[in-house]
Amino acid sequence: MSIDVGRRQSNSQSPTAQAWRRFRRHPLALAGLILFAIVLLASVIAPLITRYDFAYLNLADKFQSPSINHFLGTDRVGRDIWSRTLYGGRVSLAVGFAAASISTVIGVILGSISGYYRGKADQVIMRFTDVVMTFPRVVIILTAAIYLGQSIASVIFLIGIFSWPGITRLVRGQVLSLREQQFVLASRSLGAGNRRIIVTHVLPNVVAPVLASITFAVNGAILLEAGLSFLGVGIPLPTPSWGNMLESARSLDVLQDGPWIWVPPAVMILLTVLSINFIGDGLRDAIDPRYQQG
Amino acid sequence: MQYFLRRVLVNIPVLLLVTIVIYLLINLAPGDPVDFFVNEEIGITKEDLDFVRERYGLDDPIPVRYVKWLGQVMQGDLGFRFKNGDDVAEVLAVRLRRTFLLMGTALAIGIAVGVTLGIFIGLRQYSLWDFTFTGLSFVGISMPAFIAGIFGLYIFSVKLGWFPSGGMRTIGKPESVFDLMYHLVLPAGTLAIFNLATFMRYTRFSMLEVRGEDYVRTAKAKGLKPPAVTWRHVFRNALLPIVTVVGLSLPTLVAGALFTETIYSWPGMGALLVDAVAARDYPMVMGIMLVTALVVLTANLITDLAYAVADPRIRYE
Repeated sequence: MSIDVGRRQSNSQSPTAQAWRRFRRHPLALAGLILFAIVLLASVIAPLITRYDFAYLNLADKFQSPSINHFLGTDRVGRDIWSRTLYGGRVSLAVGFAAASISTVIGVILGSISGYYRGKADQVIMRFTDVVMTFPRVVIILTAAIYLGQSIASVIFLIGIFSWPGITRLVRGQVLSLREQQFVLASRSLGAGNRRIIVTHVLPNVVAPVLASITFAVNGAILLEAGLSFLGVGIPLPTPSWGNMLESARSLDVLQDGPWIWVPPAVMILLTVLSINFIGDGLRDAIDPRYQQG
Repeated sequence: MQYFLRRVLVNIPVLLLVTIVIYLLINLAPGDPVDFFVNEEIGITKEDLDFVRERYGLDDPIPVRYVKWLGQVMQGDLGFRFKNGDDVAEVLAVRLRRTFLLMGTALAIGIAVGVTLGIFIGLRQYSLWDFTFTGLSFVGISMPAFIAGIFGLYIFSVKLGWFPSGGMRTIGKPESVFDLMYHLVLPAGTLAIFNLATFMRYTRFSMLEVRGEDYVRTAKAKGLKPPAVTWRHVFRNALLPIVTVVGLSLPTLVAGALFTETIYSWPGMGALLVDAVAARDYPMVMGIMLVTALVVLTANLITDLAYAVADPRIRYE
């Protein structure tokens, strides 16, 4: 039957199906996806596979190396490292995704306005982007943290509102070229208004590049949270995050005599960021085949 | 010439906006800045606080204070630290030199090693070397400065004892360049990892891309020997985009230095910012942010200009 023949040809597949097919053929991307799924799963089912509460202090068992009771040992106040690593993953991943969502939403809105309307709005938004990009994010967030008390919400908020310039520029560039396309012109000549054109014609076409850049935004946010917590201005104790667990390695006795305390969060950060980088690379190649050889 | 001039002038409004952002960020902070000086034990009076307010010009409305502050800043006067009354500009000059030494060394290592390896594997696509280094580069770009720093400190200082755990010189030893370099190896080496990996990836990508260009095929077709093709045509064109990547890596390097300095107690600007923020030492924080912004803007400018010099096509865009 003719339908069967057609289905086998790649150009009859939808772009999404084609992208997924290319993504699956990317060995590193697939490895990244599996690795990330394991990290995510371990955090989600943390209550099922831990014996101790992450905040439970047991001074009698403090600073113990890994044993049968405490699979990864305990920290200086006797909290179970295995529990804290898994629950810390929940916090670190949640912060990463939440902050990346905020910055992506801001970036898509500003980028679309800037690219679509051009002119004054574009100039104002672009100058503002330049200004925000002038500061390394850690520097400006460290300073802005003076305003907000330490909490998970404020860390998410601060990372989110200072991380949009990259996505804004990406979306602006895409929109600038999209608005000159024939189908936009056709839609306009049929009487469609600006809002309708943006929502039905422009935005669906920026979804793919934005999707790939979200992965890098999530990575950036996870690293930033870890960095801020490492400096002691991120997630407040006793809530665990990979960053504030790592912070304990700043005192020399823990660094020297208690590697079981700081190696697990360090390894988890590395694995997570690595797997998301693999996924992001695969997505970028899958969505835009021009990048394939990079 | 017009391009250069325009490129320089574009930075002026951005710089002005930057100063406004810095000023507002610090001066809209909740709480009275003079709270810093309230000390029950010494018995500070209201008159004392008023004196401090006047000395730091905290009585005027914000726009007036901003303009006054900007005027002082333009004359190189960044005020005095709340913490100990030191001249902010003087402290910055000393700290900035140390941070530049750290960042400069890291950047030099990153460029030298990263670009060399990138060219090496770019000429050997899909070889074992290529897979090994590309794999390692993924680990490198996934390794933030604080993790590289901690692992470096643990392995090379605590366990192996090859390098000192921190500071800039050995106490009790006469100052020497050798001693300084000995203290610089670990911080600069761990700070370099991320950029090294980034530069390697871009160089490889760029080499592969240029090797597919028509003019490379032409060069080969006219019978040029492979090394001549590689060095005269591929190499020179492939390096152009690297200029931009190096320039754009500066903010990450500044952020990385902040962690590296904290971990290795390197007395630079990053470590100072962490202290100053914790102590609410506002004049110091403002000074550091201003200098950071200036460094990043200048780096971007130099990058653009360097690119325009290296590739004349850019100027006609």
